[in-house]
Amino acid sequence: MSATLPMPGATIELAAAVKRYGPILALNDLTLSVGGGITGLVGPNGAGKSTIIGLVTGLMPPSSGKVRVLGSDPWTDTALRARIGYCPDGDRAWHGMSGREFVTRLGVLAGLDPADAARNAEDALVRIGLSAALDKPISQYSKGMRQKAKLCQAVLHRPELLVLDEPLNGVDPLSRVEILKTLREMAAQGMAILVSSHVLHELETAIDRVVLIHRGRLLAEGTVEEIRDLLDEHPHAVRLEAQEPRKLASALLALEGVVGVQLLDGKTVDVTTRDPGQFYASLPEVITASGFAVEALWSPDSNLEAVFRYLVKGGGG
Amino acid sequence: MMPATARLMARHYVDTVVRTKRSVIVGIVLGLVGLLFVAAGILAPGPKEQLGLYYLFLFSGPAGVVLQFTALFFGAAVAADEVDNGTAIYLLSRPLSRPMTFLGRLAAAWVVLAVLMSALNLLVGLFTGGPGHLHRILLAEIPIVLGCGVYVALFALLATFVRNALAVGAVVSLLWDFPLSSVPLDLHLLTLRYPLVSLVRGVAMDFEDPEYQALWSSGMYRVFDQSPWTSFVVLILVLVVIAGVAARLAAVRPPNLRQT
Amino acid sequence: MGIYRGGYRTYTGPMLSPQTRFLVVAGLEFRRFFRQKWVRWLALLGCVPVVLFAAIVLVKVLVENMAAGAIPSLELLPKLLSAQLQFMALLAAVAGAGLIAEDRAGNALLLYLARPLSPERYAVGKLIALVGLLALAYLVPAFLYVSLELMVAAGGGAMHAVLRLLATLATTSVHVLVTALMVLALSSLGTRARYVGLSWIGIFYLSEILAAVAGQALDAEWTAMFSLPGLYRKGAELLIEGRSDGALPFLILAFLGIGSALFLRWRVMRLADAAEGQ
Repeated sequence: MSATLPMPGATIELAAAVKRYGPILALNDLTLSVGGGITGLVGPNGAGKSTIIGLVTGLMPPSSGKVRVLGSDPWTDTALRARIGYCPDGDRAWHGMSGREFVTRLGVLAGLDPADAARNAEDALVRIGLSAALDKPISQYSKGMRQKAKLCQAVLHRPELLVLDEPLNGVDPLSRVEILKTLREMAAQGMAILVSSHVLHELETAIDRVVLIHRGRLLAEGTVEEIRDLLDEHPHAVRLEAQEPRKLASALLALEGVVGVQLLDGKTVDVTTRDPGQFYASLPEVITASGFAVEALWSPDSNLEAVFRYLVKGGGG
Repeated sequence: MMPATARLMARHYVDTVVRTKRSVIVGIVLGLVGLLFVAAGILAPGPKEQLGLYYLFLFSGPAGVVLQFTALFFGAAVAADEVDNGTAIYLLSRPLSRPMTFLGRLAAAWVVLAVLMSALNLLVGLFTGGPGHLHRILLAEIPIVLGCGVYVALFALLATFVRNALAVGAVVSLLWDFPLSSVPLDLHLLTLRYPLVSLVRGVAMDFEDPEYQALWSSGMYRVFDQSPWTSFVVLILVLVVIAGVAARLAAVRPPNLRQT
Repeated sequence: MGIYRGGYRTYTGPMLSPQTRFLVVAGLEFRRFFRQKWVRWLALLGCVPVVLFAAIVLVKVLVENMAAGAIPSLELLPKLLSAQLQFMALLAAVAGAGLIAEDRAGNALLLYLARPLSPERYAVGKLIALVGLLALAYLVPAFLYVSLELMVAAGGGAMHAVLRLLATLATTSVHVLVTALMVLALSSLGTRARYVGLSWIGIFYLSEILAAVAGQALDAEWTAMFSLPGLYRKGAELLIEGRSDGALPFLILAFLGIGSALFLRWRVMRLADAAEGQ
């Protein structure tokens, strides 16, 4: 496939990108474009997310194909990297430095004037909630605090594109909420954000678009709603809890579109239906007519994780 | 005038490698070695023995195993420390020219090592070689500074494409540079020690001196007979080539950033 | 099937004996050594001197047998030991320096100590692995060489041969053990294998320079005892050559080994306390 850029002018463009690490094919002829807003990069371990991030941030060149960020090649264009902010995964820092020194140093290395970098670093760290730990060594920070410090260094030089690799890993729930809130605020101010994560159920509340990756290939991309609609093409699971699960199961099996019913335990019925819309429309009538006492109703399939599982098992892409 | 990136990275190298406990320990150890030579010089029976100590210092210190291991310490850190820490990823994602990033760090490592070795040479030289040989002691600074640059650049180059910089550096020193210098075949011509020790011999040693004659006739350093000017040019060329190759590699070859 | 799908069940299979469980640590580390390219290369290079020396002995025997009546002398063993000592020191730096340092750096000490494995046994497991590796570079070549020499040398008798072999084994065993203990003790102090290895090499070779300086200043040969390589060389003379002036160096080396063992034990206990307190 020739490496023609899919959407010239998009923030990030990969055209037939291939990346090999020796015999390992990490990215397999990937064509992708990412625009503004918050885009989630989702995939299991080894899918190629960090490789994509490495290509986008200019840490490595592709083995073949093209990579363009903000219209330029990040591997060769040194000045472009001043417009990109990168928050890597893992526990990486100069642990002997304080949070203030760490963020300031990286701001200076990003091209800021040292005085400005110091002032902005302090502002950023205070705003993100690290005012009490500004001058403590990073080795004494908790995981959440380190993640916040890393986020500060990534945005200090006001980049146009922010790339975050697993920013929610190891972070406590409160800090996750704060980080996601900060990301939404930055996106609202015009920053394009690419974030990779495994914490799918929290990510989907923050992101505008999703890119699903598996084994170095693109499985699906689109808005969260577009991705969810893919589910309509495959049987949908619904679970109910009732006092008389067997009788309820028999009644539900008779409904059109229901392809299977399973008793999971003493109370739970798992229903698989090809037409969730029709099923939900018919369900109140069934319950009312039979008099069953349904105590709970939910669908394990109404989230990104379910979509992803379906797609990874070969149901789409 | 150093480019801004190189200056920034030199300062960063000093902050993260030199201003650490490890480097202080290295400095202290070198200082103690120097003091031992000084003590030996004070205790030595006469000027002949003192001069012999100075020559021993030169060939085992700034032109010997002390230089190589200290150069391995500082040189490998040029390329390997940030990768081992996992912090190379921050530097490489910054708008910094990769060759200048490498050269800035290399320059800092060279300067630090050269200052240490030169200071050691002055300290030991004054108490062993004696003030009467001051001009020779000062002339010895030329090969010492050059030798620091060559070995730091060599180990920095090795560390850019080999994960285990210690193994490679130790093999280069202990299984190549030193053994080949002492085998009877002309293999010493393939070592970096050959031009370095030849230059030391040429500028720092008094050919009329009986202690020098004794050392020369013992056969130990007989093979280091390259002319000083040739040695000087060879060392400069080697330094430029190694630094150039390493900087070029830094520009075109992505480092292995996978954290171990 | 994943454990979580099978439902929780208590393990009912065979268990390793608590007395020998630490050997798992030794086995793991030994296998890990040979996964490292540089360790394999150094171990291979370390075979070169013994092959060379063996060839010299065989050629010598051939030549001298042809000349009739001459018995090859055994003066090559000290030179072989000296050559193998370099490889042992290098291997100890490259392979042994990270044994405890890397566990500290990766916070893996807790993983070991959360098992029914005491800190002492953890250290002994690491020690056994390193001793095994260094024995391959030092003890085995020396033993093979001495065996070859005894086979081709005329005269001496069976008792002489056995004594010589035992002396070689004893000397090289002590050298290997002391080296492993010193390197492990150093490794327990650091978190970066590279710097621990450099420290070991620095101590090893710097001590020779310092001994030479002292020797020149004091015009004395006994200062060679202040160098580590000198201690090994002189110490070998006691058991293998039967020279009494090798007694003090051998004792100093043994003392260094005992001191390293005690320090290592103390250090590992401290590290264990610190790890558990996290």
